[in-house]
Amino acid sequence: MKGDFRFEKMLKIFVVSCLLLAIAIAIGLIAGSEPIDVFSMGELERTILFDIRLPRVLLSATVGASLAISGAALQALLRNPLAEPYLLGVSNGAALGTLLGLVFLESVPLSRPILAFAGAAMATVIVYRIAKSRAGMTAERLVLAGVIITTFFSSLIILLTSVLDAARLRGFTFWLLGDLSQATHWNVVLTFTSLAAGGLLLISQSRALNLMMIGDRDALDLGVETARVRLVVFASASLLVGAAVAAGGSVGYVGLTVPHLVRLASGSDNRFVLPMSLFSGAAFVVLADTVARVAISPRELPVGAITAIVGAPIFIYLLRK
Amino acid sequence: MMSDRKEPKYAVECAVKASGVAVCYDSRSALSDVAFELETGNVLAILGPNGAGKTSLLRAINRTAPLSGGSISIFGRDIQQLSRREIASLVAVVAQENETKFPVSVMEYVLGGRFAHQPGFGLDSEKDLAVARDALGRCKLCGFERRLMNELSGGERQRAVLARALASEARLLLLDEPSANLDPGNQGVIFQLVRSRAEECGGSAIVITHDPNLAAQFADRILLLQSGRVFAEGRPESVLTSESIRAVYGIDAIVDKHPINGKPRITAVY
Repeated sequence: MKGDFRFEKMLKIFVVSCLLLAIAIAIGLIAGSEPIDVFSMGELERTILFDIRLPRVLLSATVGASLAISGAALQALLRNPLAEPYLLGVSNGAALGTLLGLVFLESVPLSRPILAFAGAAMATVIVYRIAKSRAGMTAERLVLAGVIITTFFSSLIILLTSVLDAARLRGFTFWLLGDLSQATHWNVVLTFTSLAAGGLLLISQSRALNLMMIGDRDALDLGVETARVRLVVFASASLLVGAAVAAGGSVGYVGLTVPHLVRLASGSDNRFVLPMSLFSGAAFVVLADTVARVAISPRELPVGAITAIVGAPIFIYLLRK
Repeated sequence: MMSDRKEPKYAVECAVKASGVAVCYDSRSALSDVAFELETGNVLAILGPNGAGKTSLLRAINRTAPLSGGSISIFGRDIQQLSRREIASLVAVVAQENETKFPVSVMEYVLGGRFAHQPGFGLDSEKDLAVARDALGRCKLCGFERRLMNELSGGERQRAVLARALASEARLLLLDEPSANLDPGNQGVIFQLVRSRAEECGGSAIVITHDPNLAAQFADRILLLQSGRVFAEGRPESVLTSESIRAVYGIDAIVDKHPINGKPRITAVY
């Protein structure tokens, strides 16, 4: 799978990933607290399937795809397999933005996703600035910068939540850990739109990212406008993470786990890694959310807990490598 | 081996023309008033002590270090008027390779040299693959396509970096200490390739090296830098004298003639 890259390969990858995602979606639709026999559905089953499970599965897919492709692109750009929206504090930036919208501008339409985008973009730029020293950027420095931003935004979030009433506070805490139960049509449309725009923008940079993955200087020498690529990737990732967090909370470790597994399977070429991460990330979160719904049904787990249980060991493995 | 040079197949033109070049980092001046010309078919070696501005000059030529004064043109085109892609298709750089955290195969790495020739998303065409394979063959890396870059030895890795530069089909090669840490065999391979490349495609090369003997053997012209200024520029025998070596490096050296090719031979006396 390593080496040259041509159209037939691209097509093969596309078909396999689509199949994978289709299987995950089918499982997500059928499994649940109320088992559904697809071949003899009554009125109730139909309602559960199309009005409750379908939007939720679609939201899981768009959130997973957004987080996974953002992670893959940030890793290539920052030359660091540990870069991930959640661990860099980008998700927390978006969460803070969402919360600000919730508390102060609840009646203003679109205020939450826009503020989430702004928060994500701000966190990205600050982390980048902290991590980049005169001597360059080391993996450890980037992770530490992420820890600083994460804890700082977390404390701001805690300060703000003190103004929420008890009922909303519980909902919000659940959402912070990743909660896909707010699968309104509006949220599905929002994440799908941002995924279409941000995903295409990131994929369009995949060849430049291949070179930036080797080194900024190498990329510059080979003809890449590195400053422009950085801007496009930061903006697209912020858009994707902002929309994903505004709709589904901070689902952690998706952007770390999925690209890592994809690279194991297909090598580091971002022309594979980015589209593959998009589809596999969607499948991963659909399955994780199915587990979150089914594990202790009829009650639910936050999906972020499931993804973190899978992702944290991979993080440790990558850190030790 | 350099004495019986082939007649150039291409019309001689000016590959690089630099005049009054100045480069500053923050407020510190790295280069000032550097001027030289290089014709196609020729190899220029830049010599000078550490911190003399050698790398800054190389970086200024492909505009990865911004000029704070003067002008540089490559093949008759002012670099300030060219896009990054246009510069990359005219100038290829061989620098010290830095390690990557991601597994990159040799073929992927060398195909990176094709970036300036590919459209946006950039699927690799048959031509890209053919050019990359040819570059690998020239650098004696046949059969290395699927090997990973960080599994190679120092010499193999440096040859892969050169193969990527050749794959770009740029006519001007800039090499920053390409033979540092290499054994004499690998040094020879790299310099031979640079020479033959300059001669056969109407191109030329600029090489930074710390080895005056290597420079004397392989280069047509020598540019001796000291504290960001040109100390001397010209043919090896006129630039590499015991006086200039004492003035620039602060050491005594015996300069005599190489017994076979008659080029200057420098022996430092400590």
